[in-house]
Amino acid sequence: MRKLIEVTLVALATLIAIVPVVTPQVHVNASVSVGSTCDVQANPATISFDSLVPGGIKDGTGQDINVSQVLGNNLAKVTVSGNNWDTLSGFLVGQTHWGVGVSNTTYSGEVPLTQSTVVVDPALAGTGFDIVHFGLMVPAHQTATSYTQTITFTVSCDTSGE
Amino acid sequence: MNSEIKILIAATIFLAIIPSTVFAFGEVAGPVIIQVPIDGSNVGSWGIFNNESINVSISAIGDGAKYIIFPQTVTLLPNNQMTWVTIMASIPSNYQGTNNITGSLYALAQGSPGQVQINLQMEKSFQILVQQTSTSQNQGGSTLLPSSQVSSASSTASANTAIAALPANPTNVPEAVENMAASSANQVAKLSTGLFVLSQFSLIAIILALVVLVTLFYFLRNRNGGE
Repeated sequence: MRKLIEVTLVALATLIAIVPVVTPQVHVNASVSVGSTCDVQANPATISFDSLVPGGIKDGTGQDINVSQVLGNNLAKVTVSGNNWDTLSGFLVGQTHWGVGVSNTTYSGEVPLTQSTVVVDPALAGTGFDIVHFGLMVPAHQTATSYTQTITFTVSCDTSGE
Repeated sequence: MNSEIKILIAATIFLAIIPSTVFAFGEVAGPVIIQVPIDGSNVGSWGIFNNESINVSISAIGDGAKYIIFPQTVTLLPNNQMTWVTIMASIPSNYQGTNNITGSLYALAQGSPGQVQINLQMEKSFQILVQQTSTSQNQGGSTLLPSSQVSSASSTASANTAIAALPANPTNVPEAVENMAASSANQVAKLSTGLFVLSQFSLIAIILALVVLVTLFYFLRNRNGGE
C-alpha cells in the first residue's frame, strides 16, 4: 500500500511538472504611431541684470538662456525678439544685446535685440541646444527706477520630417 | 537630532519655494492646410503640447488671418498630451482672391515674471486652399460645413471667443497620437490577455501543488521508514 501511494505521488508530480511545458504561450500585440514634433525649452525662465548705473554695462555669461529641445524629433527654427524697456524715456529694446555660442559674450560683440524676430538657430536639432547670451547697457541720464523687459523666443517647425 | 530636523525642514521649505527654472513648449510639425470652397467653411487642427497645464493665447497674422476663427486662449493638457486647437476657415461667396491664402498662427506662453521675462511662442504657418466649386469635397477628410451653419465670422482674427477647442480627435488630425489595434483586434487582445493571466496563475498553482506533493511523499516515506 505504501509503495502504491509513493508511486502514485511520483506519477502525479511528474505529470504536473510537464504541464507548464505544454501550456500554450499567449502573446499580445500593441502598436503606436509617433508623430513629428518640435518643442523648445528655455532655461532659466527669467534673467536679471541686477542693478546698473546710467551708462553702465552688464555683459558676459551671467545672463544666459539655454535653448534646447526636450522631446522633439524635428528640426526647429528659433527666433528671438523683445520689447522696449520704457518707450517714453527712450530706454529701447536695442539697449539689450544678444549673441549665441561661446563667443560674442561681450556687449560690443553682441547684436541689438529688436522688436521683430531675428533667427537664433535656423535648424535646432532634437538633441541640440543653443546658449543665448544677453547683455545690457543702460542709457546715459536714465531715470533711476526699476525697469522690466520681455524677451520672446519663437519656434516653428513647418516642414514635417526634416 | 533637533538641529538636524530643523535643517531638513528648512531645506525642504527652501526647495519648495524655489520657482521652476525650466520652461518648455511644443507643437506638431508641418503646416496647417485647410481646403475651403467659396461660400463654404472647413476646419483644421493645430497640435500643441506642454509638460504642465498652462494657458496660452492664440493669435494670427497675414492675409489668411481674416478668413479664420479660433479660440483666443487655450488651456493645454499636462504631461505632454496633445491639445488640438481648432482653426475654422470660411470663404465668402464673393471671394475673388488667390487660391492659396497664407498666414501664421502663434501660441504664446508667458514665462515667469522678473526683471526680464522670457516668453515662449510657437509659430505655425497655415494655408487656406480655396476651391472654386462650392460642391467640392475636402480631400483631407475634414467636415464640410455649409456657410449657413458658420457662426458669425469676423473679418479680423480678433473676435474669436465663440469657438472652443474641439475634442482631441478631429477628423483631419495628423497621426501624432498613440493608438492600440482596431476594435476587433482589441477584443482578441483582451481575450488573449485573459488567457495569459490565467495561465500565469495556473502555473503558480501547479508549482505549489508540486511542492506539496513532493513534501508529502518524503513525509510518508520517512514516517513509514521510522515505524
